[in-house]
Amino acid sequence: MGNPGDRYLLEALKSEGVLRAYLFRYVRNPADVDELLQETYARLLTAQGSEVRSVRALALTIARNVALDWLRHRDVVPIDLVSDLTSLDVLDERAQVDEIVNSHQELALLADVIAELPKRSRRAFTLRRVYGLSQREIAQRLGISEKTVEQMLARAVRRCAEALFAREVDADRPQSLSERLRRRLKAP
Amino acid sequence: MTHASDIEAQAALWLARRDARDEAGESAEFAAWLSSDPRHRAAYLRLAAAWERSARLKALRPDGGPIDADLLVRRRPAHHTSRWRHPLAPAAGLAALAVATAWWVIATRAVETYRTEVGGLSRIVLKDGSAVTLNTDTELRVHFSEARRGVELLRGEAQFTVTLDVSRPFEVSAGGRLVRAVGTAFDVRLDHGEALEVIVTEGRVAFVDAPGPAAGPGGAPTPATISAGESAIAGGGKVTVRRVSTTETSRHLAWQVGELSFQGETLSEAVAEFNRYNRRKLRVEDPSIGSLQIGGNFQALDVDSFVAALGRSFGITAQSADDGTLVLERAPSPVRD
Repeated sequence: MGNPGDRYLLEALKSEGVLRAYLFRYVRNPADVDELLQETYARLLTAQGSEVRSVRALALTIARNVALDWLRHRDVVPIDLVSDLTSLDVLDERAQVDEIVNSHQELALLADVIAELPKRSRRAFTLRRVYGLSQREIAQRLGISEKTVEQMLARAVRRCAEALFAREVDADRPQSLSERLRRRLKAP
Repeated sequence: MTHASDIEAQAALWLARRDARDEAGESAEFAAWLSSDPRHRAAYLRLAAAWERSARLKALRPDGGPIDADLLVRRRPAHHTSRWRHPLAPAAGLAALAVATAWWVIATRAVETYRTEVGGLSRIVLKDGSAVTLNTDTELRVHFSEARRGVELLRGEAQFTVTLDVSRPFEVSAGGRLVRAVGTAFDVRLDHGEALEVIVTEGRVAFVDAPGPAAGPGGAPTPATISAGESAIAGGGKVTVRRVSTTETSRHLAWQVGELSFQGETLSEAVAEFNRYNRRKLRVEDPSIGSLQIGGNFQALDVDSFVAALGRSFGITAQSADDGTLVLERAPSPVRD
């Protein structure tokens, strides 16, 4: 592993909430947002140029282009949306506040996410990440196959990533972290 | 085209598989998957970053305790209990009822007290939808009834965002005082079990039974209500209300994002704040440095950075004392000729 673009991607994860909010304005469908976000990250990985002043601005620009491409392939493109696509700055400033996640908030967030997992995932992840047991030891202890442990951990890490990076930015009604988390966990 | 969620699922399985085999290098198969589509690499890096950060969870492991797979099981939040208020369907067997009852008892007991450790921060949503953020070393008891929403702050500090319910006032008792709200946002801090500070950020709250002599001639009347943008400090039998600027309020509430914000506080005061959040305590013995004025924002749990900043700005160093505390003192002046 280890590409120059990797660093941009890792940096951009901090702004995932903003990127999602940005894409959501044009796409209005969470599944499509996931697609476009992944495309944004993929393009970010291959971004050229060593003098990137703000990875966040770069990521937002890429997201805009991705959204534009997506809109162009629609049958009907709402014109107000396209002209609006240039207004990145406002969003960029507004959402800074939302990104402050410090160590103990993050810890509480992670603990919340794990607590909400189905039992086997929760246990497997707890044993692996809190107690450092190997996957084999976990399988023995929980009486499940190693393959299952693997699946449980895979599931858990996806939820962690979602919680850590995909925080929504809702300018109209600022919500507490736990409210946002709860809402997301209820979503199908 | 492969969907984003499928790619992420694949990436997650790769991550777990590599974790199982403790692979440092890349197997040919993994390398091939990774390089076949930049979206694969993106999804993998994202999950790997999350996995890395989840190592933080080790901090929750109790010292020397046995391995507990259920360590992170949720203490049921209060609002979940409401479902058990619904009459159980008659079809439900006795066994189910017994289980439900036992669960109810456990759940009820579990929701009544919330605690944070030194350095902890926790957000809870009460069954009326009100949100509470608990600061470091805080203990809170919740007892709701039909007539009132009662919360007892036994120790520490909490920020309340109260949902509107005129028929059921929200009452916080702390240090022998009672603060009543209907629908509002405010912060309550109890120092050493006595000095109580209330900062209101939205709406109004009332001191219901502010003790002390009724306002006599010449004495300030006991304030009944505190409005948004005001702070009240109750201690030693009186309540002092003053206006606080928005900046000051946000500095006061910086703990909610894990920060301490100082602007002109003395070093002694700043040290006392840091000590609220950390087991590793700081101490100032030399009064000439204790009165130094401090400014700036610091991570509440990052004592080292604070000490380093003191070193850079004031030439103060920290020496470990026998009892494990860090004693702040002026570094010996360099000899000049």
